[in-house]
Amino acid sequence: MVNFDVTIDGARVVVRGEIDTHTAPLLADALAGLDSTTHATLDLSNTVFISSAGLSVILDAQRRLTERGGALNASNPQSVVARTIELAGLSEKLGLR
Amino acid sequence: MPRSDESEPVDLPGGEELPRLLLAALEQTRAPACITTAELDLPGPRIVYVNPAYCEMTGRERSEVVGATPRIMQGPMTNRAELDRLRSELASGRSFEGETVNYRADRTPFIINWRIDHVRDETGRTTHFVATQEDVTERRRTQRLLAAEQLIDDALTTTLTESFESGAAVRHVLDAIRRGAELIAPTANIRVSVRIEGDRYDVGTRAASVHGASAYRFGRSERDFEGDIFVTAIDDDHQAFLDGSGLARFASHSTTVLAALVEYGRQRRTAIRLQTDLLPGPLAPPPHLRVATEYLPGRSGVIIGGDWYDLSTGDDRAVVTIGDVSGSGVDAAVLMGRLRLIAELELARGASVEDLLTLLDEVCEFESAFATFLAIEFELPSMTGHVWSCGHPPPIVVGPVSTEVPVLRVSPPLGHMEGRVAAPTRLSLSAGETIVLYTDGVVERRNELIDAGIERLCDALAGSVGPEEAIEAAVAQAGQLTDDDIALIALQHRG
Repeated sequence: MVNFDVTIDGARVVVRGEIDTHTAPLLADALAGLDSTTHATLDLSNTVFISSAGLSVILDAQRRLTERGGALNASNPQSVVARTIELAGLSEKLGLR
Repeated sequence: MPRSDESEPVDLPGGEELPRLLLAALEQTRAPACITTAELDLPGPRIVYVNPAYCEMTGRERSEVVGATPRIMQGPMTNRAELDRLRSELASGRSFEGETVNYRADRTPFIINWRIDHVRDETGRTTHFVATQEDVTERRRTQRLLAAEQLIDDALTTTLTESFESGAAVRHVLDAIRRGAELIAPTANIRVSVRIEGDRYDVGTRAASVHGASAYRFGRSERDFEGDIFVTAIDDDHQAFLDGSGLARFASHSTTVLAALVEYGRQRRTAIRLQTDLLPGPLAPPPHLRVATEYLPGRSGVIIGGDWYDLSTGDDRAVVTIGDVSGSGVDAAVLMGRLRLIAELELARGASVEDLLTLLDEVCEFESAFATFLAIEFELPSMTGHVWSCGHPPPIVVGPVSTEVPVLRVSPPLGHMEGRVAAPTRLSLSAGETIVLYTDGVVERRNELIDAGIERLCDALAGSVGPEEAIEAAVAQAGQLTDDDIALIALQHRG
């Protein structure tokens, strides 16, 4: 059973399933493929779980993009993921408020 | 395939040449064959024909075999039950297939697999039996050796994935070595003994009476472990039939498996030692505070992680901290140790919490790391104070009548604050209250709001008296957890 997959469609990154210690490196690989001037959106509407390893990967990619004129924001997280992001103090940073 | 009891006499092609051809083929095939008369009652069948392959397998001349009973092939290790089954199958008109130990002319035993079929005349009456045989000693030995090796490989796998305890793991693998040796030498008495770094382990029992014994050495003295598989045969015959080369190969495989186990134990001890050194030693709270802590490694077999706690006590303040470096294993643990040490030194020399957070954020950014962190600074002795959270879940205040989760302003995690520290939230601890700080492994479950986990922890903590009891309750509810490591620190204001 696949519990994670990520697809990139231009500036839209869609993540399905769980972003945890095991799957975070896959997300990192995918995000590394984004052109660094892209204003990218991370669609979390089908992400059911995110651990700190996942947040760490997203923030690293965001840093790489913003340093070169790009951007990375999250969109449409489900409540479980949104709450994890909020408690981590990252809602604003990820463009969720 | 037609069954022999249904077989009818047939007309064979080949004409006059056929009888000569059949005999030549029988004489020259490498498959041992034997024809006996059909009397099943005593004195039993007599051998009327054996081919050269049979003579070669048994080490007997044709002249000494023809006219004799097949019982000359049998000996002490021959399976009597198998012979009884043979007799009853044949008496009922059926064919027989079986396996037992036979003996060569020089009395060396070997394992045969043999099939006996009826030879019937034109009226269907059995006049003879034809037996085709095969020496399967080597094949059986190879199969037993493979099965024995599989036993210890499986035992190793089991010990490495379950919660590991060195002594129990060694005994578990030794027991598999004993059972494996029993597969290879089924009738022998097996005992396995090993000395690992000065500790001696022994499984199996000593034989009551010894007809012959051998010891197969395994281990690596340069890695400080050595052992023996002691094989004690129940009689001389069995001693002679022992698969010595199989046992020697098995001992060598045991060395490989045990070496892996010993090395794993060694690395694990090193890791545990590092972990305990990276965490603070006994904490020294001021007189009116009581403190209790816990660190539990993750279930996944990785012993060191990135969680830590600490308590820094000065003349007029106490700062309690907890943190969690994202990731697991050695990298996370090493960074955790540095962050904790920096925090300890900075707070000891009187740095403000804001300055400490800025510094830790810079360190994490430099290391491309992500760490959540929470610090509470209490003024002494009033125990009024402030909380700073960098992406860390909120603490829980356990009072005599209720538990509370303060609502905090939260900065991003260390490494991602970009120099901006959110204003702290006021928090004070009244006499009798206990505050519990924890890492996310205590509350985080997939597919549920983290708030549900925090609420569960609150329920578990409700009514607990003092920090030790609070920690105990928190660990108990974390119970069937996750791969994550967990850290907890609880502080009580004694008044």
